[in-house]
Amino acid sequence: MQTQLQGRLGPLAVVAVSLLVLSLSGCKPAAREKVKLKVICAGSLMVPFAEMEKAYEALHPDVDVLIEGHGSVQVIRQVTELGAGGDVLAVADHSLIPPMMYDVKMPDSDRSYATWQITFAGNTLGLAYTPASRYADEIDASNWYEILSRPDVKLGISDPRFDACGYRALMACWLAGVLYDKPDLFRDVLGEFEYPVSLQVQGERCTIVVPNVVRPLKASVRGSSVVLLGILESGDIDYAFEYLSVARQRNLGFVELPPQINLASDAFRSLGYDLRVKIDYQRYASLIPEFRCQEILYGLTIPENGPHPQHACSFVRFMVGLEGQRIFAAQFQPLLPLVVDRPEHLPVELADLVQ
Amino acid sequence: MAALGLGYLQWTQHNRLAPVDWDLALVGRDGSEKVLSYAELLALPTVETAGGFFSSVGTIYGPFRVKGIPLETLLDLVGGMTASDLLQVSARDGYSMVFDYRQLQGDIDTFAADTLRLVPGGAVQFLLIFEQDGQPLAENDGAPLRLAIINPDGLLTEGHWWVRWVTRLGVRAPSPAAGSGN
Repeated sequence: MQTQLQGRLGPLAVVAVSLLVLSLSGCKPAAREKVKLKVICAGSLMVPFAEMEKAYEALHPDVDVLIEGHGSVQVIRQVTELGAGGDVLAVADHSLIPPMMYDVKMPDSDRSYATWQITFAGNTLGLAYTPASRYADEIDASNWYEILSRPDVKLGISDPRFDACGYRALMACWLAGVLYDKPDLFRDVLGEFEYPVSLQVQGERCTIVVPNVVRPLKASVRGSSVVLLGILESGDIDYAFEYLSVARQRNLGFVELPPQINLASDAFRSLGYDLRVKIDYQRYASLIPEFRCQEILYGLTIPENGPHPQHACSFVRFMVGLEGQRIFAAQFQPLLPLVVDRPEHLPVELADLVQ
Repeated sequence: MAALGLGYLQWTQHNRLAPVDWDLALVGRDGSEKVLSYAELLALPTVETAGGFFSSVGTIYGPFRVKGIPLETLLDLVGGMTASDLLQVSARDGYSMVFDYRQLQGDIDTFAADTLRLVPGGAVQFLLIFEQDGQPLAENDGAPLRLAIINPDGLLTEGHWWVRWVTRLGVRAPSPAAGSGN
């Protein structure tokens, strides 16, 4: 075709015709498609991760970071059960990763969904409030449970069946009863439930059993932190158990609880109990709903079936590097020294990051 | 197949419409079980209305036009529910959700679609939907059957109630409380 045209019209005419055809057809040199890097994170990480997305993309214009937030169990299920795929996972409870990923094989394979995790951040459980909250000018770390026990004070917790912050709130209330030697504190603060939340104590082991349906008579229970913050800011409740980072990001007041009950460290162990929350209904077939009291530790991993492992390593390096640390600090997310649980499985690209 | 209408088809993962092969198990409080094929389900009375939800991180989905079967209609086929019963809605992916009678009667929070602020007293209805915005449900939206808790005025409900890929509705008594009550 081109040879015939050249013979009749000359080479310049061929170039001109070719350019005309290209411009009329709207053809352009094919733009290089960006790598879509899917980062799935716990809801409480959404704000710093949104910042991380912008900063990382500015440094890596060939990568489009897609941040997706869920409850931590759902973060993992996106990869293991829902087939949604993911390049980097970050959860608010590191203890979920081994049973839901190490112990689960990918279909038609003897490989696990993940083989390592890095714990990288923590948080502190406390009470978020607004200037309009009743007794906001009185409440502090020493009298919080007395304030919450008053009949005119409305407390909110997220539903322990759906949200780690919810079952951690139950743990904090029970630990507070031990710390202050007030056996009725749990009931005084949370009130009664139409379907009883029961306590099983055998020696040093205590289990808080949450029923199928959570219907409190005094406190307000809502499905997620998002809803809880909404009703706190609208004045429907006075206080809500929340994480420090979430409260600060929303510019809310925050009562820091004593270290034995705020789950920021393992100081709760000094109270001498092995505490668990058992949910009396199994929301997910893949997870036995019994949660042991542990310090709040965020974990991250790269799934074995992630589509972009090299880019995922690069993002993780960025996230825990100096710029990532600056973003976390600006968003009030407490960072911890990086610890990998199974260093022999860590990708070589990350090997120098951890102890 | 064409004479059966759009409702008998679902989107496949290859973006094609294909006949639905799906059964729904209904279990009464006495343990009696009734299994309905997809075709039998679609022969039941349906409702078309609006509904939407938001995720645990505040992402809003809808409101959509949805079409489905009232849960009450389905539960009546196995003896209905009493005030002390619970309903467990189970799905193909191992997810399940439990509701009590009051929730099924409408005691579910509703929220403004623009601010996500609580709007008390919004009327809700439980539907098992099979169409969304005039199309069969997409796979990722829970095809072919999804539980939807809708408010016809466009208020939203919480997304964890909206169980996808529903396979079973089971009525049962509450578990006995264990240990000492709080």
